[in-house]
Amino acid sequence: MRTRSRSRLRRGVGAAAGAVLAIAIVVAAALYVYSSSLRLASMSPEPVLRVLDEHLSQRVSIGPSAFGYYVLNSGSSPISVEYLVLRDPRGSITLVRTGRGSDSACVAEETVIPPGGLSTVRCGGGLALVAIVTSGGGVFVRDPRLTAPYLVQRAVPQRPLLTPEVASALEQYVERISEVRVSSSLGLVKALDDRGASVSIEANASLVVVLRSPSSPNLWSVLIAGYGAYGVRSNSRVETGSGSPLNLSRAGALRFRIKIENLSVDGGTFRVGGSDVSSPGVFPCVVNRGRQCWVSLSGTAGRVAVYVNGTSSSASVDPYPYYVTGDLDGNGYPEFLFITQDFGVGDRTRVNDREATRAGTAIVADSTVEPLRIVFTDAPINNTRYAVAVVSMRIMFWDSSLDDVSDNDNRIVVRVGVYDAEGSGYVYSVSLSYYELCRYRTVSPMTFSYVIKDFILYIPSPEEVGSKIFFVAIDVTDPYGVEGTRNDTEVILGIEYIALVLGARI
Amino acid sequence: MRRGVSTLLAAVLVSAVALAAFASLYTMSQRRVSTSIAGLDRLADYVHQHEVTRLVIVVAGGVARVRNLGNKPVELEYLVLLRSDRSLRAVKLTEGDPCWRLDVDGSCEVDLEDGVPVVAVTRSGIIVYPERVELLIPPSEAALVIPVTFFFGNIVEFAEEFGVDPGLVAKPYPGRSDKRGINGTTVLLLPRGRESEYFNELVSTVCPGSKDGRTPFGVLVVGYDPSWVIESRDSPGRPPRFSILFAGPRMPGEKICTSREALPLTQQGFRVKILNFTGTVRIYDSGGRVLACSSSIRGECGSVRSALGVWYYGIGLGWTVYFHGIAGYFAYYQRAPSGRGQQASYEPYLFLGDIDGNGVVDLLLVTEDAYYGSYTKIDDSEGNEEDLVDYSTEPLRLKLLGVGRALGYPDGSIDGGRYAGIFLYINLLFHDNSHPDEDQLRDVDRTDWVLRVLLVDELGNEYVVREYRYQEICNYHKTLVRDVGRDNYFVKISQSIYLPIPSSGRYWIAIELADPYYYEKRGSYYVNDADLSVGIEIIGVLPLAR
Repeated sequence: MRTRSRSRLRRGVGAAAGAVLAIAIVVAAALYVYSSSLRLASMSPEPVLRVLDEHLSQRVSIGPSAFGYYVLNSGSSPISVEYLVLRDPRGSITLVRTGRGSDSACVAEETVIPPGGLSTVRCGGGLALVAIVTSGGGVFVRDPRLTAPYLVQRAVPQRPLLTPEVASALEQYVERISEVRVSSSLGLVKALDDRGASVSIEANASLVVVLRSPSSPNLWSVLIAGYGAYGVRSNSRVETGSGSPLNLSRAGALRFRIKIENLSVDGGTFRVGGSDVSSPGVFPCVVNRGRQCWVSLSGTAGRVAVYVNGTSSSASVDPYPYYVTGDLDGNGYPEFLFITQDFGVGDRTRVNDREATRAGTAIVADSTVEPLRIVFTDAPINNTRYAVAVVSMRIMFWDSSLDDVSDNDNRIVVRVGVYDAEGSGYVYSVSLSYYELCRYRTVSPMTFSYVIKDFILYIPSPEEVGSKIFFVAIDVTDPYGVEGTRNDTEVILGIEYIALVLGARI
Repeated sequence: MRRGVSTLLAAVLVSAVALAAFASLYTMSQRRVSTSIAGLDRLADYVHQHEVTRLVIVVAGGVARVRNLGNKPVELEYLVLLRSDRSLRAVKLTEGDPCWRLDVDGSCEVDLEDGVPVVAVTRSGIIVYPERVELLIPPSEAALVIPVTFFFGNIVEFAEEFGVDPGLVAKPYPGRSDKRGINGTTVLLLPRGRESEYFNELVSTVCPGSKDGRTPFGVLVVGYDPSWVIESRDSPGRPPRFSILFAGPRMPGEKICTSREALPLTQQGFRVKILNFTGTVRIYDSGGRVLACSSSIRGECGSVRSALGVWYYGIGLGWTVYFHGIAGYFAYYQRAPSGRGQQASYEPYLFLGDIDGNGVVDLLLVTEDAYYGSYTKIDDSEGNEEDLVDYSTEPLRLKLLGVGRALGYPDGSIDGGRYAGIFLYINLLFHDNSHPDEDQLRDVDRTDWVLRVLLVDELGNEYVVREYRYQEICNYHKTLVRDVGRDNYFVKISQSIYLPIPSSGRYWIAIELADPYYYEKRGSYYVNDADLSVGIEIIGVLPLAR
């Protein structure tokens, strides 16, 4: 009985142990499966993070350039351009492997781009680059900010250089103005220079130029040339608020020039040859009528300067009495007028600017010793960004040689160029010479026509000259003094609306 | 036994329950895992869709333009507009609305009075926040001006880049019929087997027995060699090398020498091309004074003016030239009677080099050789017996392939559908030998072009846009200059030319150069007999979008 119960007990224990064992095995197996499945789930983000990390460290900008597209690696790891996503002219999208040969649809300059590196992709047949795929699977699409400006049609940006502001402060733009000299066979000396004064003029004049002041359309800019020793009316004089009248018939018997800036004749008079002046114009009294006309003027002026013939026969003077700025043709843009003409005309057998006066013969052949150089420093040109410049300008020209090229050699009158203000001068320039300019006018009676010239200017690259800031500059010259009776023409040269279009360096 | 069975049964039961519990636990956890992965997928998909759906709002003028810059078409369901009173309005789009479907690069316009789009919802439910780009054009911002220049080491490279017919620039070896372009009473040839081409050879006017080591010349062109100009763009400061073209009539007793032999200049006329020249060039006036000098050797020339440029009629003015140095290439062309189909090509007449020292290579076509004249004589002859007149039998056509390439077409053409026009800005130069200038229109009265701009279509049809005829362009130059330095043969002429482009098809811009004049005997006069120099320095091309 005892043994039976013991054996029963043993059998029960064995079954229980077997059951426990079986449960333990099942539980262990289940736990293993569960835990391993859990581990699987918890491990899965890692490669995602790695991809994400790679993706985040790669930054690529794709934008259009003149020669196709640029791909700029702005990230911190190198990228390898594996595929290009292209759109054909019909609008369908294709994925192509990046090629380097000329037979591929698109040619990438470089397929592996280091951080900060740039590659150019050129596509033919109207294919447009939409995106790139890197070897790591990163997809980069075009940057809208870079692309959008190219997608909207817009006008070519042009910047005016000879603005009213520049014209009214021209002295600040003339290079080394204190050293520039105009030489003459009968030199001028300054007799009077007053600012902000009343002015009254009664004088003979051979040439009068009246412009609207660049500072205000209600004010005038005036240049008067003439000689005082003349006929019945020998009482030429100029008087300003500051002092006693200057007798031009005596002091300026052989020649004088009067320049007035910002003249207001409100309530006063302004008459040339007996007629009231109401609009701008050039009054070529001697050229057209063979004799001087009477100028009568009273008002207030921003500045009045009077230059008269000096005592030495040949001398040079500052350029101030030879130029004047203001609007001549009423279009709102100021002209820069450079004038060496004083009296009459001539040909190869006689000196052009010559008058027999009661005080003796005045030969007033003026010429620039070096060019009057205007540097437009408001518009810097960075040669790392720009490769060419187109400078457009409207010009007028008149000169005093009746027989044109027979009287004068072919000398340079105007030069336009890309200018290095820090020493090396013009790095590229083009010129207008007398043989061209003399075609644009009639000598007598005086007529001239405006012509518009566009100049393409080459901007030297940083590889050639280093990174530089250049400016547009213009040289204005009268290269003709007098040589016997030839090479003696005098000029009226007008330049208006100089404007700049820059071409991107690509 | 029965109890044993029941215990086993109980154990199985318990383990089954435990297994079921674990199984359910496992499957539940699996479901959670798969659920989260599926969610992640959708999220990733959304993010991807969001990423590739790129819309941009370009505000310019009175309209806001919604443009699809993504890589696949987008169908929009809603546009949310921000109105001027700062309120938002969602507009449901229906089929037919311009913004309903935007193809890649497609766009639609929204009047700014209705509001600026700030949010778009695609039909697949993606919410897109378009980037807004305001277009403000700063002053002096750049335009696209494509420069066309002549930075080529030699005529072959130049011809290839401009698609010049190889026959027009073939070296003029005698007896070969592939060379064409220029003809005259005599033509310039390179007699093979008579030592007319040399490489890396000494070339000099200093010959054994010569009295002053100089020789007269008809026309002399001196420029910096293009290879040196190109080289100094990258590494400035190297001693300059020169490119020289030297033409003349029969000059008995005169010669030039190489290291091995003397070449007498006694034929009916000659030309010498000296390329990549390291040495010195000096020009003397009739009194034996140095007029100009350029040298590879620093300090060799002192303060004398540079010899760069074109020097005309040395033989008439008593001017002479001295040169001595090593030429990378040196060709000695000799005149031979034309006829029997014997023509020359443009090759002896073309010059590449920087003739004004401004760092930009000039391309010149020079048919002038030695003399000037008016209607009373053949211009390029001393006394009408032996003339050196050359003329074009067909124009030299340069295709501006670089323009089309810069605009994305490897074949160099321009798409009329995309570009309405082209502005060309050309800096050119011109000179001829009709003297005096006052009589040049009497001497040359046939109006013919020397430079023209044209469009060529895919079928080869030509559309001439602008011709520079002799009677226009002759006014810009002075034939005879004695006062070197103050007087000028020419200055660069800047010309702007507008080329309208037809609205469909593809077009190549071409520039053609030609010397149209041989000579015409009219009574005792000789007219229409000018020889000329015409050149281009740089062309700027401004494309105008349609």
